[in-house]
Amino acid sequence: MAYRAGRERQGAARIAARIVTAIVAGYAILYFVSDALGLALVSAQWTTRADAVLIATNLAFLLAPAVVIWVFAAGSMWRAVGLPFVVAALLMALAGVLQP
Amino acid sequence: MKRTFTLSMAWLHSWAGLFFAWLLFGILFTGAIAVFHAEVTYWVTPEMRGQVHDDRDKAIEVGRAYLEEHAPDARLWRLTLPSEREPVVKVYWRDEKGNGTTRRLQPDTGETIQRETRGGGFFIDYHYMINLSRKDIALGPVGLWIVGMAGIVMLVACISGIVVHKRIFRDLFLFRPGASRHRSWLDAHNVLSVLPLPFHIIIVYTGLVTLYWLYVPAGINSLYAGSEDAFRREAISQHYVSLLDAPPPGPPAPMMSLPAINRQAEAQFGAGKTAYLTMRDPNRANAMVEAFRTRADRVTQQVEQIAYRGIDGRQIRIVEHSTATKIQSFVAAIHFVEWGGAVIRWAYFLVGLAAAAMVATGLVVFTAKRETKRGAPPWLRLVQAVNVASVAGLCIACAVFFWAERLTPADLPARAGVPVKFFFLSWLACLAHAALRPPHCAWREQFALAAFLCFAAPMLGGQGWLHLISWDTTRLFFDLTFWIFGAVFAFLFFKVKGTPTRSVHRHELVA
Repeated sequence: MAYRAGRERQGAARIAARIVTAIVAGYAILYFVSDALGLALVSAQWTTRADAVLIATNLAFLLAPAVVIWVFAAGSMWRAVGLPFVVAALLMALAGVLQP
Repeated sequence: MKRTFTLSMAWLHSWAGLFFAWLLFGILFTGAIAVFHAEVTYWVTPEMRGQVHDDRDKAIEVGRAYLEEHAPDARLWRLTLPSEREPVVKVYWRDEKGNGTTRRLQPDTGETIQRETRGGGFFIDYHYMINLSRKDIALGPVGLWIVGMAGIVMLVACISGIVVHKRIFRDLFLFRPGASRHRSWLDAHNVLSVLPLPFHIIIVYTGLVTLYWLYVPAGINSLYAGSEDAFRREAISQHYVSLLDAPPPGPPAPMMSLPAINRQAEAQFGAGKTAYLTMRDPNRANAMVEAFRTRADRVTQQVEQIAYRGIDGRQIRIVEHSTATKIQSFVAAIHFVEWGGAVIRWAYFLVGLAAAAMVATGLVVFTAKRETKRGAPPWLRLVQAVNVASVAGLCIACAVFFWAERLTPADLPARAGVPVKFFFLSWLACLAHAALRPPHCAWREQFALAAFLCFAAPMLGGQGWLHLISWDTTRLFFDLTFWIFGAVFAFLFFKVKGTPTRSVHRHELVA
C-alpha cells in the first residue's frame, strides 16, 4: 500500500520538510507571483493599480495547487524542498526590483 | 515522493484529504446551507410574514422614522427595503467606534421585531471564516486564512483525485452497493466527486476570488503602502465607508424625502429594483444618500450605485467599475448566488451537499482501507473519532443551532449569540461522545440523534402548522427539507450497522 512508509525511505522529517515547503514556500510563491505581476502590470502602464492587484492575485491562485502538487510529486528532496524556496526567493527579488 | 507520480498523488490525496476533510466537511455543509441564508433568517424569525409589501415609500418612511429616533447622531445609516426573501425593513447604523447595530421592522406598521438573530448569517460566517471574525482576533483574519488554505487543498485533492482514479470515468458506472463495504463507499465517493467535479473546482476558485485581497495582500502592500482602506476605496468602494478619516459632519440641515430620492434611483434601476439606501451624515448639510441596485436578477456582485445630495436630491455621482472589476464581480457572484432565484439556489444547495458528502465518504474510505483482518494501526481509533465528530457531529451542531433558535426566548438580551454557543458546545459534546464510543456505535448514535433533531425541528416553539394554513411556502419547504434530512440520517443509521471488518478486504486480497 502506498501509505506504508519505510520502503520508500520517507522518514517523518522528510515528510515534515515537504509539508513546511508546501505551506511556506507555496504561500511565498503565491504572494510574490501576484506581487511581481501586479507591479509589472503597473510599471508597463497596462492597467490601473487596482486592476493590476486584481488580475495578478486572481491569476496567481491558479498556480498555488500546482506548487503543492510539485512539492509532493518531486523525486528528490532538492527538487521538492530546495527548488521551491529558490523560486520563491527569486520571485521576491524580482518583486523588489519592480518596486516603485 | 513515491516511486511513481500516481503513488505520490495517492499518498497526497489520502493524507491532505484526511486532515483537511475534517475542516472541509463543515465548510461545505454550512456553505450549502448558506445558499439559503435569507430563508434561514426567515425561518428562525416567526415574526416575518411572507406577504408582498408593495408600498415601498411607506417602508422607507418607516425605516427613516426609526433611525431618526434611535440613531440621530450616527454618521452612517443603511436602510434595506423589504424583498421577497426577507419581507422586512432592515435598518443599520454605525456609531463613532465603528460598531454596527441592525434592527428589523415590519414594513407596514413600523413595529420593531425584538428578536435578535444572526440567522443565516451564522452559516455564512462559519463557511468563510469558521466564525472567527477579524474583530474578535488580534492575529488578523485567521479563520479566513484557514478556510483559504482548505480551499487550495481541496483543489489539490480534486487534481490528485483525478490522477489516482485514472479509470474514474469508467468506474463511474460501477456502483457496487453489495460488493464490499470499502468498495461501495469508494464508489459513492467517486460518483459524488466526478459528476460535479467542475462545480467543485469552480466553487473553490470563485470562493478565493471573492476576497482575493485578504488572502494575498501583496498588491496592497506594494502598491497601496499597506493600506487596505485605500485599496478598498479604489477597487471595491461598494459598502466601504471609512468614518475615521472622513471630514467632520456639516451643520444640521433637513434631508429631502427619501422615497422621492429612491424614485429617482428606480427610474434608472427599474421599478422596485433598489435593494438598499445608505445615508452618510444624515440630516446634515453634507448628507449623501446612495441607492444600491438589487443583485437578484444579475450575475454581479458589485451592483450599480447612484449617490444623491441629501438636502436637494441632486445626483452627485454614479460609480463606474473597470472591466477587470466587472469580471471579478461576475466571478464572485457565481459564488454568492444572490441571482437566479429558487431553482439555481436549489441546484447549488444540492451540489454543495454532494461536495460535503464527497468529503465524508472520503473519510470513510480512508479508515475502511486501513482496517484489515490483521487489525488496524493504533492511531486509526483517533482518526475515526474525529471523523464521526467532524461529519455526524457537525450535522448535529447545525440541527442544534436551529433548535436553539426556536427555543431561545425572543426578548433575551444578547440573544443572537446563544444559538452559536449551542452550536459549538454540542459539537464539542459530539467529539467527546465519539472518543468514548466504538466507531460504528458512535456513527449510529450520532446519526440517530441527528435524525431525531431534524424530524422534530419543524414542530418546535409552538409554530405548529400555522404556515400550512397560511400557505407559507418558504416555511413549508424548509420543514420538508428538515424531514428529508431526518430520513437521510435515519437511512445512514441503518446502513452503518454491525462490525464490518471481516468481509472488508476480500477484494483487496484477490487484487
